[in-house]
Amino acid sequence: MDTMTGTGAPTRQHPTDFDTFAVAQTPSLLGLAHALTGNPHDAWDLVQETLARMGERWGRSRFDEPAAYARTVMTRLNIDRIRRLRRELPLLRQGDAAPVVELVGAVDTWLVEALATLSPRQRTALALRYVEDLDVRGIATRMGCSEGTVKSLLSRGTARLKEHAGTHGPRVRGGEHGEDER
Amino acid sequence: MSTTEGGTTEERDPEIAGAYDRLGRSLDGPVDMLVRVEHRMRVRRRQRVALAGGASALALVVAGTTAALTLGGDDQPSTLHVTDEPTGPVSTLAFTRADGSTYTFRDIEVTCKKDPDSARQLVTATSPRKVRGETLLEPFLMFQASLDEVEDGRTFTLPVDDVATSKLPMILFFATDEGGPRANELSSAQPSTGTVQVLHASCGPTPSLDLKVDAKLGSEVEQSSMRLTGELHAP
Repeated sequence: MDTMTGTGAPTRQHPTDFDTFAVAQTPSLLGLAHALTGNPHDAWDLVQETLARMGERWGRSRFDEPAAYARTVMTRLNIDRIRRLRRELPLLRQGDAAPVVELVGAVDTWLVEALATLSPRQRTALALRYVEDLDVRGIATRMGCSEGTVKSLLSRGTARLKEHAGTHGPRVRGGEHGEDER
Repeated sequence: MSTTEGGTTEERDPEIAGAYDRLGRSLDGPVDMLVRVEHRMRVRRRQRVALAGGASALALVVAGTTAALTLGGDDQPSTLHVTDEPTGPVSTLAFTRADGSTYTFRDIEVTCKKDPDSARQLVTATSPRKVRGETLLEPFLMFQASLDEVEDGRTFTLPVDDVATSKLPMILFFATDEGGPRANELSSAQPSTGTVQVLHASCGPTPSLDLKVDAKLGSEVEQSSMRLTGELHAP
């Protein structure tokens, strides 16, 4: 790594194709990851792991649509993340305990709290619906499960979110506004 | 189209959509993002090598012509005499060096153990780890597979490499003592080609494994791919 820019991304004097891809995709991947995990630090871990796996294969594998493939990787990693990350991240996090992502926008507290009550698969289905704007078939393809399973996940997950919004929302936290009631 | 309490699964609830939109735009990544991704890649690679060779096989470096060997990762390695005598399993697994010569992994041990994370039964074949410190003294080979994936026999067409999961059904790995300044480390992941046939595998009082390899394994360290061929019959 050679230099830092003021735009939030370091650059090399001779950035690789992968560097360019990673810098361009990180904001949207981070947004999806935040919806998948409901936690800023887990979101960054998921983005970092996804990009590391893409980077390892970059130039050795052919990615027809690398952006879409990265999202598929991230989605499936998230489904498997509880078991996998619990095993790997304690090692990976050594010396990396300081927060690395910054909350720059407002978040709805009720949504974050509600996401914590959902299963990883429910969070995944809802994130793909609301962040990626995929339909049931697209979600099923991305998650590697049946459309019926997706409908069930969306139905139960949506009901839980609505219940939480009705009970605890709407509240907004973060960004430049601190925490307040809307 | 199925129905939820508030509509259908194809519909987007406006309040939820708005909250997700704000959530998706709320984070800014670290300024040294690429550095951190590269660090993660290096950690993952070290983990793969450690998986294949144990902690003492980290950062393998091409050995000189020393005759000493170490088993394990002690700071002050014990020195033993090398023996090439087969100790049970019969192996003709061999890789071809750049100069056309071959090296045969004759001393192979087959073991079984349960993966504590997945509860899968793993069958593993390894050659002795002969290292001094971080220096690889002789080539090292490891094959590992989930028993439930191979006990009825299975042919793997390489590469076996799913970037989106950690649960690979099989991994074949070997490290050479040439290709400096670092040893070449090769695996059945991308961009490998060829086949790995598991003819039989079982875990009992005496684990057994019959293996046939005809493959060109890809380098994990940006070096040349190398051919690995031959058979293993254990016990």
